[in-house]
Amino acid sequence: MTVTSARLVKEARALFMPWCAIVIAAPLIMLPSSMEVLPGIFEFLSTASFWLGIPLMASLSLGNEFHYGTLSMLLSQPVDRTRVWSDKIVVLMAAVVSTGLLYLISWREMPGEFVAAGAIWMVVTVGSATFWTLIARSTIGGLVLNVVQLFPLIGLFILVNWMVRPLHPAADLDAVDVFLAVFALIYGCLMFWLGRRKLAAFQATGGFAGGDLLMTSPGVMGGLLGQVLRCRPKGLVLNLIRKELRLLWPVWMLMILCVVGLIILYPARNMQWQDNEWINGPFLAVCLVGIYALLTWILAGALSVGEDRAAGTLSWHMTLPVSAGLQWTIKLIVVLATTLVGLLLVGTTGALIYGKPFTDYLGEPLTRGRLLQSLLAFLSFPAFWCASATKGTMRAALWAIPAAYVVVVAYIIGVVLAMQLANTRIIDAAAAAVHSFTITYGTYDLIDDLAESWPLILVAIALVQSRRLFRREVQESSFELLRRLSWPVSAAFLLGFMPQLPLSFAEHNWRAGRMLVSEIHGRTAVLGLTPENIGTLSNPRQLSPEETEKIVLSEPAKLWLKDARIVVYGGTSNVLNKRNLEPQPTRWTRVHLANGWVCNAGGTFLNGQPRTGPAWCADPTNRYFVMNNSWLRSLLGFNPWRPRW
Amino acid sequence: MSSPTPAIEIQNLKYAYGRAEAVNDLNLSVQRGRCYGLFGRNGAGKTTTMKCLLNLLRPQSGQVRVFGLDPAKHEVEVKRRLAYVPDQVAFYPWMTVRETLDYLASFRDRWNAMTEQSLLERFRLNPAQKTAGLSKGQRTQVALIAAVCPETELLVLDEPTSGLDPIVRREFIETVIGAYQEGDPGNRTILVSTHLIAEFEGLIDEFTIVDGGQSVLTLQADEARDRYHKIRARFPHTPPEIDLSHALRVKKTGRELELIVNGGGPELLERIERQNPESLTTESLTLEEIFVATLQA
Repeated sequence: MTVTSARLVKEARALFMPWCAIVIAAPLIMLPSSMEVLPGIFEFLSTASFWLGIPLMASLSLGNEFHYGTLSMLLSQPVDRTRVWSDKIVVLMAAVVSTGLLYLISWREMPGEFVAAGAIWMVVTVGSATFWTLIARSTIGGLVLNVVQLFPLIGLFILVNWMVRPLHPAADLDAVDVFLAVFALIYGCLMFWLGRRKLAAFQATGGFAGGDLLMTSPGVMGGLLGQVLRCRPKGLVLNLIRKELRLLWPVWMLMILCVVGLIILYPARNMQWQDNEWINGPFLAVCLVGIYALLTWILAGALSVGEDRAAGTLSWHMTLPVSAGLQWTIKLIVVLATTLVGLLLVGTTGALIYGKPFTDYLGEPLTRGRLLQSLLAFLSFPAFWCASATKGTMRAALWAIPAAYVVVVAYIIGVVLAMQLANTRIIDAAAAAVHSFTITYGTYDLIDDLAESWPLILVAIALVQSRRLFRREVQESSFELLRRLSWPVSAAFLLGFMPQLPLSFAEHNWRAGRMLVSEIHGRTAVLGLTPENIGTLSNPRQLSPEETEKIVLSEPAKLWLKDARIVVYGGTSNVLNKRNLEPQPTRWTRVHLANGWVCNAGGTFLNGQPRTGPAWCADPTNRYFVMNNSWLRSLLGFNPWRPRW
Repeated sequence: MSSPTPAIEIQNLKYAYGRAEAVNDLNLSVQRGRCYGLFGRNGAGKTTTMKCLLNLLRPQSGQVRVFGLDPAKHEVEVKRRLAYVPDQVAFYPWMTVRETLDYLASFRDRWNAMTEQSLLERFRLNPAQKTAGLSKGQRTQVALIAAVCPETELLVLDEPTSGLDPIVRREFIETVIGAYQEGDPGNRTILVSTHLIAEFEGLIDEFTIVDGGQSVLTLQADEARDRYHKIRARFPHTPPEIDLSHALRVKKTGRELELIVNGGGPELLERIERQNPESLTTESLTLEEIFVATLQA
């Protein structure tokens, strides 16, 4: 391996995992929606991976050097700095271009404007990444600054459109679009050059934190706020809270920037983007709030523990005379409170400025449901958990969404597997042997409630695990994180599987019993039953073994009817024959299963075409078992239960 | 009145990072009021041992007691009675020195403000300076102030003088540590891990040398100096063949013979004397020399 290729491999290795993650997310959008375990999740993952993944990958290239404290060593090597820069850029370009091409293919169904905006986003964020990462001296700081710089740029685009359109209502606005695109390209190139220049003149000042903007934030917290958050010699808990609030300052800054952005966008509230009615001021405001919410969920959770771990201050706190549990609790509460306050403030500001169109976009539950808003704050927890389970803010931030997704998928797999398992011949045999489908409403509801409270149980498990991991020294390894993730994943799977298994079993038995008796009832027509030989409800006719053999044909039915007793009886009815009000003779079939259950089918007219009437099974207490409409069934959009009869 | 319970008691401690054993069957007992040295090469298991004492790591086997308490079960109580200076000091960079000390003081029931002021002046630290701008040595100084001011019963120091300049290092060891122990003689214990053994020579009462996670040698400092000797003999011709099997190390250079012995010195001296050397000298080893001799042996 040559010297150059060794350096390129080192750069490529640093970007490989994030590149894999972004590339894997790209084609998700092409998958059929029937495969989505959560509505719209593929589209969300694909687009979010692009819009955040590209600037993140661009920042990582240099941000990793700050994270590992290797920049001084790298710059002290006998190589020209521009060479160091070009090595990084070559690898970054290869990663970004390959990613971009893949997204271009994956997004072929998307509107042209969307793809063009993506291309411009790529050029500007990649071009600016070096500059902003060197300013922030960290990956996350670089990412945040890189994204935030785009707000004025987007504002400028809107302003130009807003100003030009009224002046030239009938004009072809392609020229404006081209002008804006060229402007963005020039801006990206300028930032690209500035980044190279910045690295060439970079001075590795700063102490142990490397002058990380996230940690030091010069001047930002000065004045009154700095005084409020200043630690005092007394008041341990308050000091811990102050420290946490201070640690989360990037989230507070994001909140302020978002509010300012919402105010800046106000003049554009009535604007429409050319012919697209749905791209208007309130829509852009909602997008801004969405980006803010996503960044807050990830950053608030990851920063709180991640920065403490990365700086080594977490271990230091563990040696102080205060329990790890108290420190963890304060951290979690401050993270959730920060997220909640931020979401409420930003949401309320948006609603006040943009009114109904804004709230319509977000939907009634999000704008009015205080409980839901509170629960939304808890979306910071996956990042918090990841930061407890691994070392480094960046790693925690990167893993937050995949980890949460994997847990949800594990739950769904558990549920579906339990449902499928209930359809197997083994279960048939077991059910036929014991006829243990004596499940009542009460039991069913209890299990169903338990199954639906899985998020709470899972969060409780994850909280306990996070608390335990918080105090431990953890390695900076994705493998370690995955190993720890296996616990909540296993718990989610079991929480899906265990309650669903008896439910599916019961459902299967109920359906099977219903179909069984329907089959038998349909077949009783071959016995040549007449009103004279069919018996009555009070004195039904029990079928002989020979007759039973004649009507029970399928193997599952034979299994189920072991030790069962079948009776038929006749009656009269006009309910099912509205055209003829004269009561008509009917036949009914009743199966007494070995465990005491009674299955009924009937209402078929003896003198008409044989047809299957209503059938049901009752438990010995004669309470009918009816399937509830599980939320999962509606969520999945299909019935995973497929009877073999 | 001092309690018979040792300040630190470690029995059969084991800890491994994956397959790499950091501490393997280590035993240690530190009596109250002592200054105890934990010496070892890099990666010998010193920091891991200290982290087990602080409940930063959970022992995989064996037991650890601080003042008779299990740090895992009585975490806060144990930490209330000790202060720790890690090998890599980290502070919040946005805090000033003053704010950092205030923050740390808020964790403690007791904080000697006079000591704090005196040490700040002695180390020439500017309380208004942000910790982000402190050098490695200055950060260690702040950590040392934060460890001494609460006047705890136990001071756990992990490479406390690394990064300090020679003047501050000497001042810290002679004045600060000395003053700390003299503040409550017989009750204030120090456990120090260091490579700069010579600098702590006068302070160490007892020490353990660890290697590969195991205790290689545990001795009282004075006893060690009595037992370990360096013998130098100069002969008129090439040194004769003498039975030197008891010597830890033998070095022959021309007509000179240099031995390091662990006990059995008088017999060996007698044997050498019988060979009529031109000169024969003997001297006690320093702790650093004992450390080197033990590990090289």
